[in-house]
Amino acid sequence: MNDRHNNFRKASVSAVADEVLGAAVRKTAELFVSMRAASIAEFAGFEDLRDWGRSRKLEVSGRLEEFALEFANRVEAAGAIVHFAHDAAEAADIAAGIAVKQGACTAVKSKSMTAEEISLNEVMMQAGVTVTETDLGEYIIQLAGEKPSHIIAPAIHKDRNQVAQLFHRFLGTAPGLDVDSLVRAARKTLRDRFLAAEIGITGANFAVAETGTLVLVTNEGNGRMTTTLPPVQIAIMGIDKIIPKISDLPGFLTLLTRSATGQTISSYVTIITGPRKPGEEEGPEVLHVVLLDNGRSPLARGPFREILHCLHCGACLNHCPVYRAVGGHAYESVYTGPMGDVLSPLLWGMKAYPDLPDACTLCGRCAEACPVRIPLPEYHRKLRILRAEGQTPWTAGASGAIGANPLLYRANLGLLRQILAHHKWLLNGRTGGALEAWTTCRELPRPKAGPGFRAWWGDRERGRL
Amino acid sequence: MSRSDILERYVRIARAAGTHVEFIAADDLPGRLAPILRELTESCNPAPIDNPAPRLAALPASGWPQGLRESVETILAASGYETIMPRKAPDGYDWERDRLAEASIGITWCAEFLADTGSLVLPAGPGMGTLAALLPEVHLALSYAEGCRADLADYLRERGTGLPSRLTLVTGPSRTGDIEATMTKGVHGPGKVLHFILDGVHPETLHADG
Repeated sequence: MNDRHNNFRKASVSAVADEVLGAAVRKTAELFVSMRAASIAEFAGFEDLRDWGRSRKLEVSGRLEEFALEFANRVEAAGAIVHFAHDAAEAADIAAGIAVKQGACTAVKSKSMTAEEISLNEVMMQAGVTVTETDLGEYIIQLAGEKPSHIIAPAIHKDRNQVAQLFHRFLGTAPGLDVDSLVRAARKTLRDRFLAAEIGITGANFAVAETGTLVLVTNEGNGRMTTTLPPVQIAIMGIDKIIPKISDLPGFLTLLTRSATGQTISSYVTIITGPRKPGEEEGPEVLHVVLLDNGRSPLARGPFREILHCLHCGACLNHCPVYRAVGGHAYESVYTGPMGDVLSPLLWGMKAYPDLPDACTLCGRCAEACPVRIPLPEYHRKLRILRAEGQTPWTAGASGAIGANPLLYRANLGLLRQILAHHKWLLNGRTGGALEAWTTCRELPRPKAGPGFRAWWGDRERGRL
Repeated sequence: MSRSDILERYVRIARAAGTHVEFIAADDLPGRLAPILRELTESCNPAPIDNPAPRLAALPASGWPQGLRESVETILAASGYETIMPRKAPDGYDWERDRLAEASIGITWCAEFLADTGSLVLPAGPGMGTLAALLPEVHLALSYAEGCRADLADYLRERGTGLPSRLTLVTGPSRTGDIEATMTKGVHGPGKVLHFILDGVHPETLHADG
C-alpha cells in the first residue's frame, strides 16, 4: 500500500481527454443529482434529518473504540465469530485464512468498498480462492480487469457495446446484445456461482452496536443471495460503519438511499443478526465479522474526525465539478471524489496522494449534498495547510518580505506595471516566461492607461481631485 | 394517521416502487392466481433461461395463517404446478437446493408490510423459506390488510431488540442501472413482485373504523 503514488494532475489530463468516459460520468452524475433533488423535495424534514444523522455519527466517532467493542460483544452474543484487524494486510489475511481453513476455493462477493480498501480479491486469489464479484457493475469491471469509476455505479465508464464485447468474450454470449439480454446473461452465469459458492463475502452499510446487527443495502439482490446461499459468510467492515441503536436504522437508511439514488428505500435491505439459527433451512452456518481499523481510531481523535461519518452514498461525487470532469479513475484510489480527496491522503499518507487536496474548487456543493454534513471543503483547505507546513516556497517568502516593506512594495509594483504594460513576454509561459503554470490557460491583464491606483489615491488625499 | 390512510399510503408507494398491489377477496384467490400461473407458463418474454422446468412453485413451510398454504397448494396443483417447500428434517428444516433453483414462482405469506417505504417484511425462521421469495422470477406475497405498519421504526419498536437471524425488506423488483444507467429489472432477484392483500379489505371500507 505504501508504494502508491498518485499523480492526479497528470492522470486527470488524460481522463478529461477521454470523451466516452466524460459523457458517461456526466450522464450518470446528472441522473443521480436530479433523482436526489426530486426525492428530497417531496420529503419534508430532510434538513433536520441531516442534523440528526450528524449528531448520531458524532456520538459514535467520539467514542469509536467503545462502540466497536460493544458491537463486537453483541455480534458474538448473536453467534458470530469476531476478528479485529489493525490494518489492511491483517484483515485480508484473516479472510484468506478463514477460506483456506474451510478448504474453500470459490467465493461470491457482494460489493464492498472496505474489501477494495484491503485489496481482498488479490489476497484471496493468492490463497487459491476465486472471488466472483456479483454486483453487475463490479462483475463487468472484474471481467475487464479495471477499477470502479463511481462508488455506486462502478462500471459507468463502459457503454453497452463494450459490455456486450466483454460478455461475448468471457461468457460466450452472442455479440452485440442489448442491455436487457446482457442483464439476463449475467443473471444466469452469476446464479450458478451463487449456488456453488462456499463462501459469501460482504461489507456492511451499517452495523448496529446495540444488537450486533449488520445491514446491507442493495437493488440487485446480490446482497440477499450472498448472505442466504453460501454456508459461510465473511463480513468485512470498517469500525466507522457503526450506528448506536436499531432505532437509528430507519433514519440512516433514509439518508443513504435518498442521497445516493433518490430512492425512498433500496429494493432490498438485509438486516443480519448472527448466523443461521437452529432449525433454519437457509443462511450461513458460520458468520465471521472482520472489524477493520486501518487508521480509523487515530482519525477519530484528530481534526478530520467527521470523514469517518461518511455513508458512501456518492452524493458528493455526483455534485463535484472536478469529479464530473475527470471521473473516478484519475483518483487512483478506492475512494474518489471529494470524500476520496480527503480520505485517501489520510489513510495512505500525503506522500501517496499529494495532489488530491487540490482536486477541489472549494465550490461547496459537496458539503451541501452530504447527508451527514461532513465539512468537505474545510477539510480540503486543512489538508492543503498540512501539506504546506514546513515547506514554504521561496516565492512566498519573497513576496512576504516585499509586502512587509512599503518602499520595496511600491518599487516592485511600479516595476510590475512596466512589465505588464510593455514586456509581458517575460512572464508569459508561451514565450518561455516565469509564470508558466498560471498563464497556460489564462491571459495576463494589461494595466489600464493612466497614473495607476496608488498615484490616483495620493492625489486624492492631497486634495487635488 | 388512520389505518386506511396508512394502507392507501402503502399502495401508492409500493406501486411507485414497481410492486403490483391488488386487493382481492380470499374467495377470489383461485380466480386471480390461475391466470398468473398460466401467463407464467406461456410467457416466452423474457425467456425462462434459468428455469428449465417452469411448472414449479416454491413456498415457505411455516408462518402461514391457518389453512392458507393448503389452499394455495390446491390452486397450484389445479394449474399443473408442483410445489416445493423446506422439508422437515430431524433438527428443523432443509431445502432441496437443486429443485428450488428451478422454481419459476415463489409464493410467501407476508405478515407485515410498511407503508412509508412500500416494503414487504420477510423475517427468517425455521421453515420460513425466504429463498422462495428470492430465487424465482416472480414473487407473489399474500397479506391481510391488518399487517400494514406505518414504517420501519414502528415495526422495529414493536419487535424490540429480539431480531431474527435475517430480516429482509423487499421494495419492488430486483433492479440495476449498472449498464449505461438504464433501469433493468430482474438481475439476481425476482423481476416481478406481486402483492395480494386478502379479504377484500379496501381502504375505503376501512374508513369507518379509522
